[in-house]
Amino acid sequence: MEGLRRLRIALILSFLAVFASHCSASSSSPQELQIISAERRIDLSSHIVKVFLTLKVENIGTVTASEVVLAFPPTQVENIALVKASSVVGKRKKKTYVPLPVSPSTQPNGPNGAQLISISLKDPLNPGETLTVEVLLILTHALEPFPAEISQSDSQLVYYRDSALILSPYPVKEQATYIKTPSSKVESYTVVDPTNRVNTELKYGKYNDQAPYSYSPIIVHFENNHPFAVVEELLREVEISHWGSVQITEHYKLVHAGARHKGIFSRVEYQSRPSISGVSSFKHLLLRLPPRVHSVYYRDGIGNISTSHLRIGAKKSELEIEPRYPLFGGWKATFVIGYGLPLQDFLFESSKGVRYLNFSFGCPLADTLVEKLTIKVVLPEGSKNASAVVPFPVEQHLETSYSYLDVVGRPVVVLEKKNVVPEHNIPFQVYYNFNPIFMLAEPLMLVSVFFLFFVACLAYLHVDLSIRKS
Amino acid sequence: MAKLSSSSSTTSDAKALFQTLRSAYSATPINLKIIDLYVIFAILTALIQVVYMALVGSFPFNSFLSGVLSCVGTAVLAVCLRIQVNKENKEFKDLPPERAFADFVLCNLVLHLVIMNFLG
Amino acid sequence: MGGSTHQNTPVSSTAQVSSSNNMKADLPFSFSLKTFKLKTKQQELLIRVTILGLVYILAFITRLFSVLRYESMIHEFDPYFNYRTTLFLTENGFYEFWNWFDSESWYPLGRIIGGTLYPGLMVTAALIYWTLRFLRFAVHIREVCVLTAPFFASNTTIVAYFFGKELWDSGAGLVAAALIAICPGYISRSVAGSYDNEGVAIFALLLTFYLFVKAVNTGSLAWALASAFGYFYMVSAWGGYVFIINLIPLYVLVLLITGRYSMRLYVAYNCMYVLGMLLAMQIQFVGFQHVQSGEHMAAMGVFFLMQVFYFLGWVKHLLSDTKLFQAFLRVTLTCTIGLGGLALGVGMASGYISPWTGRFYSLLDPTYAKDHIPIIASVSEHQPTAWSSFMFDFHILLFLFPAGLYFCFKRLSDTTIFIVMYGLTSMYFASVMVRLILVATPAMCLISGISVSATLKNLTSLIRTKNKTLHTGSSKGTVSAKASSKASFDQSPPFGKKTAIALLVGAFYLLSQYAMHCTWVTSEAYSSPSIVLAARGAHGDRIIFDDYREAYFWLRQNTPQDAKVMSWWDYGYQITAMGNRTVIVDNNTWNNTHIATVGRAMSSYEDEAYEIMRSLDVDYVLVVFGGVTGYSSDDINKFLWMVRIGGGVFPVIKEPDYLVNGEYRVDKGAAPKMLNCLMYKLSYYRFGELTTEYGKPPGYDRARGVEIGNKDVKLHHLEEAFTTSNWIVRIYKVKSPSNRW
Repeated sequence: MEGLRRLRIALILSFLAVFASHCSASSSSPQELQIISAERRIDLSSHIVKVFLTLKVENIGTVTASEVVLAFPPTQVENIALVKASSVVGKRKKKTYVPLPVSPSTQPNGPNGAQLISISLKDPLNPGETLTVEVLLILTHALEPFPAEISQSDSQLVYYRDSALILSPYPVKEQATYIKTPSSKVESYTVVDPTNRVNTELKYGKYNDQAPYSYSPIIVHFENNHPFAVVEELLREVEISHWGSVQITEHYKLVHAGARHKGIFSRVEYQSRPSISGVSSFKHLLLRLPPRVHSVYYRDGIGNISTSHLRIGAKKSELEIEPRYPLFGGWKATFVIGYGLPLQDFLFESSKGVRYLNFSFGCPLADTLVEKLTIKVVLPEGSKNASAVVPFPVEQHLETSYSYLDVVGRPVVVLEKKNVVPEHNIPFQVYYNFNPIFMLAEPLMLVSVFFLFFVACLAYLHVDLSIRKS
Repeated sequence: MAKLSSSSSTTSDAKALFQTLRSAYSATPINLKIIDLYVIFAILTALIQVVYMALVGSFPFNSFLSGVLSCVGTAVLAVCLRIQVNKENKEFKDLPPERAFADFVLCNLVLHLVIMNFLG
Repeated sequence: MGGSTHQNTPVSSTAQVSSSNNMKADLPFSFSLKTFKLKTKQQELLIRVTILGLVYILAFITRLFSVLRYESMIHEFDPYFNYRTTLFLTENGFYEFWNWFDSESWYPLGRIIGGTLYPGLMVTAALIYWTLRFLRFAVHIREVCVLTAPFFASNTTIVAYFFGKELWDSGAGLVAAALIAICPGYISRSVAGSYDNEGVAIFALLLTFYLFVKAVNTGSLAWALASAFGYFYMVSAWGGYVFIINLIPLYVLVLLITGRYSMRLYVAYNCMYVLGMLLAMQIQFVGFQHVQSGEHMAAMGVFFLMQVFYFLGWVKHLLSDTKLFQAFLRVTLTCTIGLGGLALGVGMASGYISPWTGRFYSLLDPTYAKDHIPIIASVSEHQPTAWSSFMFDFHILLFLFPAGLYFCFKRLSDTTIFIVMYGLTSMYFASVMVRLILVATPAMCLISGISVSATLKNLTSLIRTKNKTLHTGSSKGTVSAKASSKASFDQSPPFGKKTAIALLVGAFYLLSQYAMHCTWVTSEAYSSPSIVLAARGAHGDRIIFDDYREAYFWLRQNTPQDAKVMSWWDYGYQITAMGNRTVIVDNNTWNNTHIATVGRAMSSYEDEAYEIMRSLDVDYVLVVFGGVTGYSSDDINKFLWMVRIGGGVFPVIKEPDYLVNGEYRVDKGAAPKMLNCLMYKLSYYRFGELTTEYGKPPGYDRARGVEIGNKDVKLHHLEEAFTTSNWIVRIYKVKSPSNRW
């Protein structure tokens, strides 16, 4: 009797325990993954920080896993420009990379406000299987210049803040972090045993058996004289003309986002001792343009800038520009670059009456960060139903603009995005309907103007304007 | 005695002058006389304005100038019209009077538009 | 015109009937040729229109050298101010523009721009811009500004054609139009990019003169009204309208003196004077000068004189007795002269009528400016003209001008008297001031056009008549033809056909030399934008020195928005237009004391200059230095003018302090005040460390050709903010006062 009651209580308790564990398991994650080995390589040689994360994930739970979740501290999440993930299939020479879609996670935040991003797996991971995932993470504004103001002959030192332990919602068995600095001059770095520094590589690791969400903040203070070229605002206007050309005008607001320049600028020092003076400044910028580009111009608000070189090639063209003066910390330059491209390289017809423009998003400037990018695609007069398809999230809206010989105006598709890095230079499409009859509108306008003028001349010659009949 | 005679000769000269002028003037056609009347009216108005300015002061100067110049301008234009319409002027033989009057109206229009802008 | 065509039709209709019969006879082949064969009158019209069209295009194209070589930009200094005001006008509308008070120049005084400029040029460019925009051409206002001057130069050639036609005949008009299209005297101020008042003003000047001459010839009120409007446009465009308002009364006076008084003259002058004066007073800058300034009194005097003449003429017409009229005449004349003299004397003595201003007085007395107003004397365009400048700007027109004068005197009429007077007065003024060669150019071209056209006409008719007489043989008709042809010449030429052909070839050679010279002068001398300097590199490639714009753009991007920049007044307009910063003094030079303050600051030691700069709230100082590139229009070469102007107001600055034995030097033997003044320090700061030329010691100044005297320049209150890549522009920041503890 008593044994039966005890058995019932035990059963109920075990049911409750199982139920509770089941509930708790489902509230945190129905899948249980473990990271066997994690290797992180942080590249600090430019002002855009690239993090390569290689995770060997093992499914130690009982449910098939359909996603891998990454965690980031809230300060780093603001600086993320791009996250790309791919799974590695095959070994050694036969490695292939299968890209995986990345999206913000639907799960609530982790402890201390850690934000979660989930990578959806193409083939679900069965229990007991392992999978290697490679993640590329691009961070902007992650380097803080310290000291914040330097003089002309000082070199630029920056802080990089991160964690020695990779933040992850899963337990990590083995991990190591390698940080690559641009030069061997490192002022200081936080030591978290075992830490090792050889020339330009700083190794944090190996750390074994870390619990989920373990974090150990580090600061690396090092010299980085790479040009901190940041475009505060970039407006790209792509104007399509069905008479055979695509005309692009780009308005740049360039700034040197490194340590601010204080004090004097001595031209004699800059010219006579280039290795000491102005090492953190930059003079040259490179733009990568499509091949078959023509009519390139480079000007600013007060006229043409003559210091530029253009090399046109079969696969790509390169335009090397120099702003009017070298840019030191905090100095700005604004300029306009315009060029024309042949229409047949970029405009295609998808179905009856529907055309689309295939063009590359992003900024042609190599190795620069754009804080706010606006692309305006100006379609010819008479276009309807304009829409854009972009592989990453952007803000879209429509407006109208007026140009040469316009009566009703041209529809404009406006795309806006913040924090654009060179990895965003992938093609996007703009679809619209266009009736070929509308191409005759402009010639007809010109013809009718001349016709009316001649008719007016005829009328004037035959009209009698004398005051008195004589 | 000589002075008296010279003064008397000047007065008699003046009187003779006046008489000849009057008789010759009455022979002018009626349309020219109307124009002359208009000219005299305009000049008189200008004189009145100058006297007023002398009494009151010339501020605002642009109003005074525009008033006086409108009178003087229209008087001068009327004299030009008179010249062009007068049949005795050989140079304007083949100018139709309608054309002369149209020019006069146009110039007066421009004159008064500018005056209105200048009055302030 | 209408009457003549009516007369022609009966003749041509019969001709057409016969020709149509011919056409019907041989229809297929000769149809094409017969229909295109034009009558002589139509041929002549076609040739004339073609020539005028080509001249129009030529005048525009020859001014485009700098646009093709460099870029479409505004040149020099003054056009930048005009560009800035035009931009303001297109952005803010006419009302804002007319009442604009600018606080960005002449800090802390500011400048009333609406009331101190001639708006004609800006309004013209804005109207063209709005018209093009309305026609759906999306142009930028800068392109319109750059191309306004060539466009109006083309229009001037058309006006010159009509003027020549009025003066002599259509042939002279064509030659005058062709000459003025490429004449360097005009091109120098109307090249593409030279967006200055003169580009539009010469068109307005010639238009006013043409319309007035036409009014005097026809006696029509409509033409006089048109010339009044032309005068209004001229007044709105340029301060040189004073030339018109003095030349026309002078011309009327000459006509009166030579006994050419006529009713047409009365109508033309009176209508033009009254309406023109009223219209001119609408421009704020001119104001009441037409009734208050001594420069305009000649016109008023002649106006009253014309009334007297008309009155006397009318009385003479009414009186048949000449003795009475003589008495009347004597009385009237004495009254008039007495009254006029009294009024003039009272006006000048009481100061109500202001005397001639310095700028125009120095035209009558060229030595006045040098002694009394150094600012006027310092402008390079105000120097007297050298013979080489005349030759450079006029070429063959120099000897065609007297030949044209001869022709004008042979056929004296109201019109030719006018052009002779215009030519002679403008030549006098051109010899006083280099800048005024521009005003003389239309007169030279017109008069030379007359001489060329008349000579060529004589020569060609000589050749043609000789042909005819050879063919017709020795009949009575020939004799009469010869006699009639002889009578049609201005002089019977004693030479034969061969000489005529030789002379024609010579004339053709001269004119082609003229064309080549003009094009060469335009290309080499008058097409440099002066804000961009170019040189040839070691390999023959073109190196461009864009230092000015580099410095102005740096100012615009990297200094605080409310920073004040002190520089010499030459660069004020450019700094405001391109650098977008407040300046202390600029090219308007309306306040001599303010300029003298800046001059004093530049010539003092650094501590005194620092006090002056603190009192003016100066944040940055800009100097132009040509020592590295050999650029000779830099501030060190202009420094003596700063000293003179500063010393004119502040006697503490004495010119002899900066000279050594009357010589101006910057090397070791220079005066100690020169070696330590602010301008020297700012120009040569750290220049002593630089080697500029191979084989010369460091600190060798290439513009002066010497090694500088003080190589160890130390600045206490200023620090170097920016120097351009070729050291042409140097910008210094004024440090705030150091803390006391």
